[in-house]
Amino acid sequence: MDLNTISEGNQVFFKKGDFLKAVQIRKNRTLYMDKKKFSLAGVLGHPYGTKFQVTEGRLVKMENWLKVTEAATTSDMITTDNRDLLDKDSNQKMTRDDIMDLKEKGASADNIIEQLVENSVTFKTKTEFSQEKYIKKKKKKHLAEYRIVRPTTRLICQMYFDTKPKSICCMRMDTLSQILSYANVMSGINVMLVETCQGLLLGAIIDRLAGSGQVVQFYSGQAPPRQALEYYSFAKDYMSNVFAVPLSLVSIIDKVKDEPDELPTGNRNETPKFDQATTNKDEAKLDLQESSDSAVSKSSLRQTQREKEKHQAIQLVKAKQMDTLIVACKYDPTPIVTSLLRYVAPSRPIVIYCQYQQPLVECYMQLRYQNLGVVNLKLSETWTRNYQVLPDRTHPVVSMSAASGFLLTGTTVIQ
Amino acid sequence: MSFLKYNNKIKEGDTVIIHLSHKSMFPAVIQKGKTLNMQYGVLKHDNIIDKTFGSKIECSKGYIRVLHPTAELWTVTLPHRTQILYTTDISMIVMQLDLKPGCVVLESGTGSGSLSHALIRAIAPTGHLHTFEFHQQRSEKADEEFISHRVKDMVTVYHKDVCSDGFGLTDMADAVFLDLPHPWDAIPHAKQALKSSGGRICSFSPCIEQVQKSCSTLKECGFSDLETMESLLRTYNVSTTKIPLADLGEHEEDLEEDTEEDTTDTITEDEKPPKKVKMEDEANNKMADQSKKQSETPSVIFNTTQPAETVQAGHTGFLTFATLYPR
Repeated sequence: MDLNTISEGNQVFFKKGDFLKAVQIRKNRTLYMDKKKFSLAGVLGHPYGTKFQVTEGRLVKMENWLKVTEAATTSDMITTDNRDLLDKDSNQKMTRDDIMDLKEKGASADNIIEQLVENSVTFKTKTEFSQEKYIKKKKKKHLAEYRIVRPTTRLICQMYFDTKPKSICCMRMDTLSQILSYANVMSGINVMLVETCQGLLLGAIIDRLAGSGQVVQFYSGQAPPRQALEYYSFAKDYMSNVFAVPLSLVSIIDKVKDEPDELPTGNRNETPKFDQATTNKDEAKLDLQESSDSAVSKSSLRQTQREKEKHQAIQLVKAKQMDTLIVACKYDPTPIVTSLLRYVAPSRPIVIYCQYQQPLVECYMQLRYQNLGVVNLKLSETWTRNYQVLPDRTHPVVSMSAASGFLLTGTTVIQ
Repeated sequence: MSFLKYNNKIKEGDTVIIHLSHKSMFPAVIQKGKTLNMQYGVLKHDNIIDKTFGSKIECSKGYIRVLHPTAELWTVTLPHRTQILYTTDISMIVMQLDLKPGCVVLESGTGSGSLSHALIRAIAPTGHLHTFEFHQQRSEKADEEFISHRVKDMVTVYHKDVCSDGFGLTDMADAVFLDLPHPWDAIPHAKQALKSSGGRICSFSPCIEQVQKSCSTLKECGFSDLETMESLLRTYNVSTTKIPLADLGEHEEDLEEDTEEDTTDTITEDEKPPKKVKMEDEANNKMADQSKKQSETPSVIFNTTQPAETVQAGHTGFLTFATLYPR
């Protein structure tokens, strides 16, 4: 299967400007988007990055896609201004019904926009900049054009941050990118992670490990957050290095015996999936007993598999050679950090993210003054601003994202 | 030691980071018999060999710590041959270029190799970095460092001016990074070098005029999804702070009580946040004691942040990103 081609079952993003929608491609599926209904079959076999237009209920590849070249409009050419323009609804002669009518008759978006321009009383008196902006706005509204792209950490994070930031603890992309840098996330390392960001941070880490190295995801509650992983569509060998351990077991890690795993291997039907609906009560207690009978039901095998993985993860952590500790969750970070810090090898980075500053202030004080063996402690936040870059119209974008969250970073040392 | 693989024991030939304090760190290549003179006296390399990274090493007038190198520690300690990129911009670049193991990246110019190390880290072990530098000595120095840092098989250094001569590569890169005075000259070459299945590009420029011209060229060459931004890091110092309470005169209720004893406690109890924080460590006990002694000036103690420096970086450069979609 060519990874560059859109195929049945792929998780993709429909992209239109900054708008992103996650869709799973199924040839028999119809989608309802932007007040239009269309089938997905038309995208199959095309390369990722292709632009499609909704035409008569189908997605059709856009041929002869014209570049939107910004006109060589400069302020020297502007001879009009807006001193006489009055903002009235009656400036547009076409009614909403007229437009709906045209759409039903199957008129193309370009056609509709042409009509809108012709029927606009004020269009000809607008400045050229203003005319461009008007057309761009109408296009955005009436054009049902989408580009199909492959999900990447950048796009997945953007989608979460734009639509449901609280679910990822308001972690903005710039801060997420710094977590990966400061923690020195690279192929081959062993990561301890605690996150409540729907698995977005976990996904970003797995992506950078690319199947080499291990992630032990500690969690509080019923199951480790992993919703975002569906967008990544990781191969099985990537996921076989990812483990989950309840935080409630942290206090017994040092007491667990150093023994090789003796649970039966059994048939590994699938990597056990964690989702929020799972209510396996056994997650709450560690069962080190050998499963006596391996020829049992699938769910029991899965349970054994999970126990085995949990045991494996604990043995890994117990050796106190983990390469980094990353915390990005809704819980108070200080107790989590102070209990897991001992399992990080010396001269390794630790990174703690928090939506709020105060918990990191307290964590800093603990790490600094309790002689916990951390140097180079640094508390920071990031300020990011986007720019509109157009000839004679370059300026920072008018709205700015207010909050990026805070980071506390440091390096472990031998006391 | 390798920048791409942790190793616990320090060996001869390793590049290490000598840590005196968070403001004072520098790199060193460990060599038998070598000594280093610095603030805490004489440091003998022989005392470092076979120790574990993260260890305390005694010197004649104090101690230092030896840290395992990472791309981030290298960025803040490397010898500058040019102005460099720092972790804030570097992180955004790696994220926006969609880098991960296996990617092929082109970089021009190499400069002092700050970004190069982070690019290599992101794409290792299966990707490759092709980095171009038009200054011969700088390109040689970068090459030496890559060898010393044991990442040489991940990177190829070219002594070449990509603006006039192009990259000389076609249809093979997932991402291109440009940090040049005239990036618009390199953009058409970048387009040729990117894979026909598409890729990402980034141009870093300090001046807005450079950004405008680059964006205009990117559009002409058929790039999409242009985005220009800048990112700045705000760092904070954390400390226990004491602020005095003003004299608001005596209240009727207080007149009947012995205010001398209760001063500190009463006032802080009535205060809404910030609350008085109990701290175990000596420094804060001292402060609390002092405050009780000076009961004429009651105060509130709390843990808080303040900007690490009064003047912090206000601008490094503008980052412009774009995508080349398949034709």
